[in-house]
Amino acid sequence: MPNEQKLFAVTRWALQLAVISSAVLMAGIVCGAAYLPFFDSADVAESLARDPGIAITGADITRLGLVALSGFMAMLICVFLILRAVLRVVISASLGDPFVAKNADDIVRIAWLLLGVSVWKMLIALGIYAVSPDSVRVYMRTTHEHFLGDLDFPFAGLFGVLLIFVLARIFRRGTEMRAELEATV
Amino acid sequence: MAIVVKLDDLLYARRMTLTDLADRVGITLANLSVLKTGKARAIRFSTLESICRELGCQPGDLLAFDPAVSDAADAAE
Repeated sequence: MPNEQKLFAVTRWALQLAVISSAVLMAGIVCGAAYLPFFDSADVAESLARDPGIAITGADITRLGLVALSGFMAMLICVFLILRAVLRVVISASLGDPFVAKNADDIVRIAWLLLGVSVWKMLIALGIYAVSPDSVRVYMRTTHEHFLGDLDFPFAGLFGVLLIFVLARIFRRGTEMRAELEATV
Repeated sequence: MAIVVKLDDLLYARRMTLTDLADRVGITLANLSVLKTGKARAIRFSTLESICRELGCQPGDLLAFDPAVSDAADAAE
């Protein structure tokens, strides 16, 4: 097997694994959402309330759960669709026919979905902070992570999105050039 | 496209089939067929040279410009 085909085979395998993993994670989130009404949020709120300066009610925790689960579900759907689109592009490339209009469309779709993930990540952080600022303080104290870092404008992500849009344009031009070459006698 | 390929007329005048020409110029029958039916979007100088050599003609004998054809094609689209 030539090196190029090995690379495609490994990439396809990894992407298929990632697609399955994201589907499993989505199923997990659905299970989590189904469990939410039975979750004893009042108990957790009570244990957190022992910490002075923290005021979180059981209802807050339930709302946080809803915001986080729905937010992560939307993000996972985007990731799932991105992975599937990348897989389709890799499969067509491995078959030796990457310059087709469908791939250009898929790459544009990937760029929009990545943009969606970047924006959605900010919205989840904002949503959680809006529902319960105290929970954010607890999170930052226990994990020593800067939670609001998610609210920073995603320059790196947007730069990547722009590059992918350019790549899509290159693919579209490549498709046109190939069609022209095919019609050249 | 307003460029008309007159390969059919040239072949008829020389009592030659497309298959004969394909064998002589070393271009596949499928490619020559694309050229003959006006579906080609470009022609290489090397192809033009081979066809003109075998048919004993000038490039101008093979190709013509007809704006009416372009208008008809645009209307069809």
